[in-house]
Amino acid sequence: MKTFFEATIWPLRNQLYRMAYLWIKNRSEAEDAVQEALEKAWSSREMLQRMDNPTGWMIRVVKNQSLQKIREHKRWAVLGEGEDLPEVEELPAEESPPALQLVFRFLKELPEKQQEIFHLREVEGLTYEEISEYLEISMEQVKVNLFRARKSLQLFLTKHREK
Amino acid sequence: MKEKIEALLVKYYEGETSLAEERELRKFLLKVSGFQEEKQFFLGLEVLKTLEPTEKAVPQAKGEASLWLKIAAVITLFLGLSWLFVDHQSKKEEALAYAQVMEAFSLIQENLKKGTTSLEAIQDMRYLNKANEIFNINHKEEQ
Repeated sequence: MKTFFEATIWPLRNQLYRMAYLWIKNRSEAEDAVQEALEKAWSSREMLQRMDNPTGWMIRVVKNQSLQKIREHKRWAVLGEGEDLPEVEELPAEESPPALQLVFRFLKELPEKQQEIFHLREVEGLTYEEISEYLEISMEQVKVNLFRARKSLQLFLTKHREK
Repeated sequence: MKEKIEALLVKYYEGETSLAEERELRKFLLKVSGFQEEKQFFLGLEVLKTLEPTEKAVPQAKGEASLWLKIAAVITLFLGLSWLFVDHQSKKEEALAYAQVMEAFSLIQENLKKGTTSLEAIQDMRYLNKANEIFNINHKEEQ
């Protein structure tokens, strides 16, 4: 018999990892952010079990961990003049498939909220209702942000075609 | 097919497609030539979808075993105690049986001793004929 943590929180790991990767753009840092978030969830599992939206809570924690990592890297980059430190605002490594690099180039142009909604819809395949619940925003906000993100995509691909 | 893809793309960029139509669009794109940018972009999304962190075990609390482990521990403890009780009982019964047998033996031995004590008088009776044997009285009388 699975515990609440095993059945509800642990299966989110892959999805949370991809979201963290989208924010941090560094795979090992993304993995650390998710691991730290899961450790927090583990120590607060009894409180999480009583929550209406544990997934939304997990997304927020991973986002905070990711932002903290970005801030740490920025601070180190200033202190050490950026030498030998991973550039967290960069695209995936050069060895990544060109198709993946194209996706990240596009996502970088989007505002944060649009990035998240676009990712949850296009990569995780969630419905408007699910996105609205996960991010704790209205359905209308989901639709408007997704519409704007797709319009930006249309423009981005047109520009790419013309190059 | 191309017209269908174009119609779906228009709907997609307007944010009006359902999840099923979006899946259909990606499937159709694989079957036709052209639409290179869209194909590459959707391929990138598929690559992103496959990214996973390295395998890790689900955390387990040190002092908090799972329910099944708890049940197994209780059953093992119960079986262990039952076995100890049964073993203790059977040893007790064996000891009791041994004591009863020994008591019975000791009674028999005591009664046998009584029997032999009462037979001691008979032992003396063998001397009754001794004088005749020594002095050969009967034999002489016959002669």
